[in-house]
Amino acid sequence: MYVEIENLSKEFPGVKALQDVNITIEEGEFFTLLGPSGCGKTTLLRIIAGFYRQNDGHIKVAGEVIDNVPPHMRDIGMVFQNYAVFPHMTVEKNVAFGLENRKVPKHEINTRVAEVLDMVQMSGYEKRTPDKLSGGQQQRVGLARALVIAPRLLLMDEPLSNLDAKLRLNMREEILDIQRRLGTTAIYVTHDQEEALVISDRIAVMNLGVVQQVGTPWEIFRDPVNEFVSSFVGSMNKMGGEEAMRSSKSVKELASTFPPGVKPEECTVCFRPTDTEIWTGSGVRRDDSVYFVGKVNKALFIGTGVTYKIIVDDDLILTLQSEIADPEDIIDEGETIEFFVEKKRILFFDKTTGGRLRQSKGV
Amino acid sequence: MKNWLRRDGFWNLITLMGFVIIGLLVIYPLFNILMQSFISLETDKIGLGNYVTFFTTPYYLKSLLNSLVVSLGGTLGAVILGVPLAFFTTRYKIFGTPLLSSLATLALLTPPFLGAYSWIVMLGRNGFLTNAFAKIGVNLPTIYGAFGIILVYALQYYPFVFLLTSNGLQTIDRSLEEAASNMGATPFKRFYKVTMPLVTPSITSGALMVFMLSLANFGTPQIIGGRYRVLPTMAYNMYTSEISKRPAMASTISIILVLVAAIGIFLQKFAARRRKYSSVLLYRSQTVKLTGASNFFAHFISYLIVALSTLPMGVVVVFAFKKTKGPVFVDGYGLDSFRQVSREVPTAIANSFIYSIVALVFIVVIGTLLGFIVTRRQTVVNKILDTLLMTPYIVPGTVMGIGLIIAFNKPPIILYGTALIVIISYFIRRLPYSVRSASSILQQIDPDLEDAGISLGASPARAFRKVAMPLMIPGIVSGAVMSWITSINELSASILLYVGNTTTMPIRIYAWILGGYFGPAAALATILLVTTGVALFLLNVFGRGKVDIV
Repeated sequence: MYVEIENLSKEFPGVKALQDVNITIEEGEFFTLLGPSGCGKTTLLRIIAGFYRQNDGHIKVAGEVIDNVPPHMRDIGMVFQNYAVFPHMTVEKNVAFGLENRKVPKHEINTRVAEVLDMVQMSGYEKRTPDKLSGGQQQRVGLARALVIAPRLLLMDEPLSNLDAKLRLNMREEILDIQRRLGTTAIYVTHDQEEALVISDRIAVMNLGVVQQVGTPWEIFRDPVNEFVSSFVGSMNKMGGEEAMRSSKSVKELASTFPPGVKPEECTVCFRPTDTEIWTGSGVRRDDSVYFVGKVNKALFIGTGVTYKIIVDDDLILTLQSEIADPEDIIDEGETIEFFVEKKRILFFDKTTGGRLRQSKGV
Repeated sequence: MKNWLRRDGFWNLITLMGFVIIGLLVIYPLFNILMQSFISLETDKIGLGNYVTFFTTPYYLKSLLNSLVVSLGGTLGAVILGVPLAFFTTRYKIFGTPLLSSLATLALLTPPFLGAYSWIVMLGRNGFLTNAFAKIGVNLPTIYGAFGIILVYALQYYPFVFLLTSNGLQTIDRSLEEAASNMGATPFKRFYKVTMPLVTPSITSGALMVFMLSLANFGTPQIIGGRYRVLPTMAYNMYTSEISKRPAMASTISIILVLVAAIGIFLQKFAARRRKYSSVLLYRSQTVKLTGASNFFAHFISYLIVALSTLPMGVVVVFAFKKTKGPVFVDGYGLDSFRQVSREVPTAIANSFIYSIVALVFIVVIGTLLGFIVTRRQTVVNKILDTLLMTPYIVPGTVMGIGLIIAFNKPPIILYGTALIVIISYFIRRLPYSVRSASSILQQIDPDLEDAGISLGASPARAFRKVAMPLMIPGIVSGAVMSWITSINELSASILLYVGNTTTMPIRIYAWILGGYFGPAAALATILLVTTGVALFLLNVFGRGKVDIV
């Protein structure tokens, strides 16, 4: 393993910022720390960079324990959320800074700066000062500056969160392309779950200083280990087991999916809005799915389809996502409808612990 | 808090130095004053006897009331002058606003006692305006006493209110006022329901600053006050009359003065906490071009205020070139007064420059280092240091002077009579401002910048030198110029600390004014004014043009 984080803990006065974090990252991997603000993801990143010191545990990079290596000798590149581009230096000087610290010969500095600026599409901006650059351009300089030193590890702390939405989409692809091309191991911090799913090889979802789950984007999205992960990544409909039974049109089918030995009142039943389909009422009901009934509360046109807010069991509001071909297909508010979800897309969580409860085998 | 910095012995040494400086130069002298104040003048007994004397003797008690009267009066006057000027220049197109601003700043930075002196030249017993009006049979009311002091304070310190209020007005987002109009508020209602409440914290901050400065000022009441004694002049006069005995009453008055100042600073902190309404500034307010009578009115008021505050400087300069016969001005102009200055007090000029420059070096270097540790290394110890570093704020110059003498005219350290003690008084009085200014500069520099430098392989020291330092320098330079200007104009502490051969320009001017030698006083004052003006001008040209008076 290229990066090993072992039993890492960090406490700030009155706050346990990180609790017994264990993560391993492979060489060349694009690894993301995902979580809400205050979950400890930035703290972890800054400990890896050496700006904070952990209270407990170790960090190894390429087999070497770096706990006692001062930050300026770690050879770890970092991209900051607010760019942190030196305002008193030109683009060129900013990028050359790390090489100058390493006493790289002048002519080599020039070639390497030119190369990396070309890579981030900032050639021609060498003599500009940061105040003449847009946010996106400044972040490109920030990235170039971190990459030019050929770091053994690249850390990115929400590098795109200060950019506007469109630019954010372009930049994240560019960052991924560059990382793939250079093969640099990258640790990326974000609170944007969609960004994390798109960009990462693997993701660690964090909450309250504890790693909840480490896995591929698919695993995180489709096979969350607890309720927190399931609702933080993507949107999720939640209903109590009893409510689900009451609003189901196929009680027997639903009952058969329940985890073995679990009573309805002990669990939460969850499924994603995008995994639902509205039943037109014609044809044969599918036996791999569970049917629910509800009343349309709102129908919101979102371009690619319609988002319905459905009232089930009198007061519970669920969200359904539906594609439509014609405007006439939009179901009016107040109408009663039936919708179904594939059994394998239904997730169960323990009502008290939030832990995942597996369905019976064979479903 | 970063570990690699905590290991750095250098910064711990700076913390220690901070404590030693404050302990030796502020706490120790104040402690000495406090001790003296508890030893009764009459009975030599330890107790509150002196304080009882103070509060039961009308002669003493009156100085406290007088201090409050002139400080509040000066503050009120400064608000009356500063607020309209701020409104006019930020909301309406006033021709020559940058010039008005510069002149107001210059007026602010000249020592107030020069203003006092100048008003005496105009409206004093033998003032040229008094005489002119007397000729046409009008007897002007006397300038001596409370009225004169309040007049000088208002005209001297209104720029604080003006500059802070202008800043406050400029940072009110236009959309807030637009929203008020949109919801149907008349322009008048919009002004007092939205604009005024938003800018009130700025006005309050400025007003409290004026109050503090007025309370601490010594030169003005001493020159124009006549028999009207305020706390600083009372302390000074008690000290000089008690010189052969123990400075019991001077100490008692000093402590009372510090307590009043402490209450003032407490109120200021309280107001500052509510100073900023956080709102996003997207659209700056626009200046509107007025027409007709209202345009004339706005211009007239703006120029009148600035002209009144600049007038004393003009009078000083003009009278420097007037011929004199002893204490009396006669017709005709010439360089006689300047010749007298260069003949009689070249040492005072040299001393002023040497002392202020030596003090400045220490103010800048030590202030910057201390500013760095209290901002970037926020340990419990450094937080305590940060609070202690603010104590000189509440110690008026007169008190500082008395404290330094009592502390350092006896073993183990005897400094009285040396140039060093004058330099120390400059240094310690200005140090808190220097620390504050370095700290606020640092707060504007994102710590991520230094971290970025470090992650790119620069050692902490190199990151400070290559990243933080270059970004701090413009702010440090402007702070340094301010420190130098205040030091070279310092009077209230140095008047107590100087001896014959350590006299400075302000002391010499003050002595000449008291002796009635208005000619050479005006000439020397002109030299001081020009020096101050040149320093400000250079700062405007080479600095970013940003004068940070607060």
